[in-house]
Amino acid sequence: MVAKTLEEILQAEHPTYIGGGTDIMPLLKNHVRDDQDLVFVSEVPELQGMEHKDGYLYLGAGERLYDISVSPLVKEGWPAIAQAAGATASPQIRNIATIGGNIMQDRRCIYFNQSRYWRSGLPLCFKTGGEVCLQIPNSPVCRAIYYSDVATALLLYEAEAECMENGQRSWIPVQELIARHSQANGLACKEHLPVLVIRFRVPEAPKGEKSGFYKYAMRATIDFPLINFALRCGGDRPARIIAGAVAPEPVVLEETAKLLENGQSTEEEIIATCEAELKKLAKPIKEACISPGLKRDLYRQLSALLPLRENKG
Amino acid sequence: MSETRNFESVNKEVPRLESWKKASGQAVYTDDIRVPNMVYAALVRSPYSRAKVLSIDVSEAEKVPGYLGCLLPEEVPQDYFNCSGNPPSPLLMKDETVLTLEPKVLGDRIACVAAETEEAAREAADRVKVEYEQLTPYLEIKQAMDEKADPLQPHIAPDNIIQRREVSQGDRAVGEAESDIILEDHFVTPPMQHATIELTSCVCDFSDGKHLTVYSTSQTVFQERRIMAEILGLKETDVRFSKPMVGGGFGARQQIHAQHVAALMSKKLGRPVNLSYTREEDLYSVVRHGSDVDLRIGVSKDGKLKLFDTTFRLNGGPFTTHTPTVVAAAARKLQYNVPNYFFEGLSVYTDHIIGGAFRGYGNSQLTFGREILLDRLADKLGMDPVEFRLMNHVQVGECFPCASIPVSSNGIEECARRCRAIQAEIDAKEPLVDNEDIRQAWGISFSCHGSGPSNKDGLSGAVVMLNDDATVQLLVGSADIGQGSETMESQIAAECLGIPLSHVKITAADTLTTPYNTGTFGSSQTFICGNSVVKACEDLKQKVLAQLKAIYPDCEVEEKDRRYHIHGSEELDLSFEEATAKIMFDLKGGVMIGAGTYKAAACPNPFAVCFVKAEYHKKLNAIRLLDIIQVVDVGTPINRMTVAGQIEGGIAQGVGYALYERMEINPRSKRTMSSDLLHYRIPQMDDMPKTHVDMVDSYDPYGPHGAKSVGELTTVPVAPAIVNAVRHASGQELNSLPLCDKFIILPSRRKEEE
Amino acid sequence: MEEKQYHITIQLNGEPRAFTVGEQETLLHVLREKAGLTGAKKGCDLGECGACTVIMDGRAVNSCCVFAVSADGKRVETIEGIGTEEHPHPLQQAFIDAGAIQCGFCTPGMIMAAKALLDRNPHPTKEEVRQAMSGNLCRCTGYEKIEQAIGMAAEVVARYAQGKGEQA
Repeated sequence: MVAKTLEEILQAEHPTYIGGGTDIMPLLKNHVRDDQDLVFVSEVPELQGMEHKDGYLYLGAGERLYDISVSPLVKEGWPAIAQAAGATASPQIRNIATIGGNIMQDRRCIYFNQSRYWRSGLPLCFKTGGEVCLQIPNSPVCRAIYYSDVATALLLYEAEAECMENGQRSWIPVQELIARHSQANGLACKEHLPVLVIRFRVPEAPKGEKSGFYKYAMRATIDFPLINFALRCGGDRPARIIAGAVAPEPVVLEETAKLLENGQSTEEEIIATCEAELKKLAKPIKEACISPGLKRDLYRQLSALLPLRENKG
Repeated sequence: MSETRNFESVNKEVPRLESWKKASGQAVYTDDIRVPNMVYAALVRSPYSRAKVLSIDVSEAEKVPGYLGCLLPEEVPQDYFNCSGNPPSPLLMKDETVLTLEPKVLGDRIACVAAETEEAAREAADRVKVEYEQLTPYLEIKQAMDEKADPLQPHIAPDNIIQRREVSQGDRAVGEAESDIILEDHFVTPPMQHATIELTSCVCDFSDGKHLTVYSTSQTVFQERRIMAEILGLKETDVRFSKPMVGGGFGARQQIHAQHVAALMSKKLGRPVNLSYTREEDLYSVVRHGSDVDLRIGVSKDGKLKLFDTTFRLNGGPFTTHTPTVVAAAARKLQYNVPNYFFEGLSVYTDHIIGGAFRGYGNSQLTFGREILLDRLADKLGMDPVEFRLMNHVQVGECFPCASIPVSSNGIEECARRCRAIQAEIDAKEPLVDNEDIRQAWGISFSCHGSGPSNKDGLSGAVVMLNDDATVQLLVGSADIGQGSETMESQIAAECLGIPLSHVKITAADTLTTPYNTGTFGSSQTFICGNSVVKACEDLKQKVLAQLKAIYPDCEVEEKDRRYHIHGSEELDLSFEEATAKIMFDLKGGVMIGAGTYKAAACPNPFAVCFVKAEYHKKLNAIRLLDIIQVVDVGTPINRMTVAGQIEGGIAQGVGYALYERMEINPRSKRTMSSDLLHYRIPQMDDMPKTHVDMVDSYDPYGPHGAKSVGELTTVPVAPAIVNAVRHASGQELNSLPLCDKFIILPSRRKEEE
Repeated sequence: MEEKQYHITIQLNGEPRAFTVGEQETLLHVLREKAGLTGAKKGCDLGECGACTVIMDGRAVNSCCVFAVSADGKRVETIEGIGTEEHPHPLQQAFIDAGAIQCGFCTPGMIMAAKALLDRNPHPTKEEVRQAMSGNLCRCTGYEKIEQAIGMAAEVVARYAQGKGEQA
């Protein structure tokens, strides 16, 4: 169903909400998901719009990643979000993928994102309705990683999401939304979270704060991140660093962020702390084409964002 | 050695003749073909690398709406065949069957189902319940060669060694004694997949069970016709392979894929069948052989090579296909003079994804280790790496080690000089950086190849039919798979006959109407087919001359510079068009058909030099490619645009091979991780470094208008040149690919140039 | 397995076309199987190669990842609609002239992605070209001549935009 109003959406019984559809399409084709009640939501008016109002940036969940990436408003005031949107996937996917769909994307794993043929003869895992994790055999939960780039940027700015659940609308921190989504997403998709994301609001950054986003992938485009970082510093609120694509949710690097604040730590010290902190917080699994040792080498790439520390003009 | 020639049609930049069709979406590729009453088939494949089938249950599949039927292993011909699109050879063992109850590789064909739509066929295939008993697969060469290993093809090899090839000259002890420095290492290159953008596909019509028509993504229509005729018990005249537009091959289509299954399904249902692979199936269908190579090179202190000693092992997969011929081809591609040369090649059966033909055909794997070791030797000797190679290079008139035909043209020195010049321009604009963050360095490699298969199997025929308006129809068997052979062959004909290119209309690669051609592999089409086109055109000209003599019996008739001079009772100076008009419509006229055949009597070697500039990020353990230069000697470039495109495309494949391409099998699950194009990564536009290509003036006496080949040559030197650059930049010795195992790869992401 | 069916109308190459589509049917499938337009190619069917690129409401999209139902009411341009042999689109001519076409399988997707870029930004920098085109894989050309062709076409497009007509 292509919904034109919020009311229409409420009528669906066990809906799967589709923005651009680019995340779920390969999953349906591979038969890892068998959603029957597809509700296309990106044309509903409440899910549109990008505006700066009352001290917040409001982003409709149906806004396309391409539009967010080129918006002067977003680039100026919340650069990490524009950069993350512009670094996601490929140009063709960004043209129709929505920010809501991107945040609510499926967690990924080399045992899950495969055709029915590939998966035949292997036991079902947590995410496909079974009772085991094929990555880490004695793990009690799914270990698939959450790869959203935009999520890392939204968490950097402590964004909130307005969600509709059971007919009720309310604001919750994006961090909490992702935590709930990630947990539900680690179970068979029949259990997917019946939450419709309507829009996001992101508080203004204080004067003088610098922020940015960095994604590492092996190729220039299309690839999911192997790691991503978002960083803010300066201004009068605490520095903050988020890392993504290393765990089932983005992680907050609190110890490393503290070093940014004191203005005295060297780049080597910050990177060393980052490495140590990520070694504790990351939950690595086997990914294609990268060894665990090289994945850990990626922790040092936070250095790409450290030039933001300099106070220039 | 070069010759200045005044060419009219060749040595020019010519867009491919079919360019408009391709640019407008009108070009018809196999899966674009719609035949009336056509149905779709999908294969039921083994998800295990090695197993036994205990039972097959199609009852759930039968319930899928649109389901039409199935083919089970007991219903198809049981004889072994070899699928490779090469002429028959004792090296090409027959060990593959149409369907199997004993899958030996991931993706092995168990059964086939058909339905009215492709979606229904795939749904039905997924619902066929196959019960397997899993067996331990041998994925690595070592495992398969272990003395306790089961023989995978007992009727061919009790020890899983399909074939051993030994090629040598000289004496090992002498080589060792005369070497002041001997370096050795163990080199490993991964299986690489062709990743043609078009998916393997066929449409087979065997509805009457007597006459078979196949449209498929084929490089070798005549070999495939022969193999299919044998499998189905038909005469070759009852089998027609007609090649539509093909979206790339690189060797993946130098073999039969599933045309036999599709044909048998077509016969069973009495309807034409489309059987097209998914990208996943395509990735598992065939790879460049992974190699395991021990290599020793010895050199005297004045820089002369004294010893080259290698054990060259290829991971063949469970079917012979091309493996022994790939090994044989690798044995004779050393372009340096070495008096003591020892090549021991082993073709090994494993349960890994089937190794088949891939651009380079053995040359890529051996050149990899050799160029790296030569680089290390140059360092040890304190010699410039280019000079070291040039001083040992085979010259015109000399033979490669263990080869019997001398080199007939050689522009390698020119190539090296030109690379140096381009390198100097690059370094002048951006001098090499070496600071606390980054070190940049250059690395080089030489390469060679052959023109046509190096065993001189190449054979081609051509027919030129003259129309009354002096346009010609050119019939050749060569398969254009995107490399532009149809355009080049038309250019060659136009050049021979002295007519505009637009007056040549080519029909190719249809076994019903075009003459035999060995196939598009071994970089053959310009040299082998091109020479047959030259002969056909010469034949046509002779016949034109003879017919004119019949028309003017009391005159002298001669052809000079493509004009016809008649002296005697009439004085005429005729163009080709005028001569044609006379011949067709005179009382003593005739139908002019020129025919030619060329069997490879030579295999002239093209040469290439490749320079790579790379940088190493010391704090990140990361590498980035900045510039790649490649200059080639391909004799006369028939189409300069095509040649440049082959160099650029070959470089891109070499970049992928060096950086991140590998069919990766996860040891725990024994599944491949490379099941789609997100996990099997090939370079994108913004991943490519700055590329600089050129071709030197050269001419080979054996080639059509002096041409040699280019197709495979250009990808061979790239990976070793990249590794040599990275070893200099990083200070680490490297002996394996892909480099993403050792370094973080940074996409090139070039900045705006001036 | 009975999929819900929907009736959609697409403005396809300038003409309204009506189709009946399944809920999960892709735009690529509609184009190739129902509209008779096989220019858009299936290279992977998962949005990873760009061979199926068409332009929808002015944006380059992977038609294999577009639900046909969400294309209802939208403008879709395919390779078949952008030029004729007598009047090729500048991109088609440039691809031909620059030798940017080898096997040709990626060509329709490349041209449509490039057209979407030039329609939006007639003066792209080389970096912008590479960023816009990296979602389209090519295995034959190494991308060099494709990049050149887009630059050549951009110049022609810019001349048209400035009203300088067909001659340089």
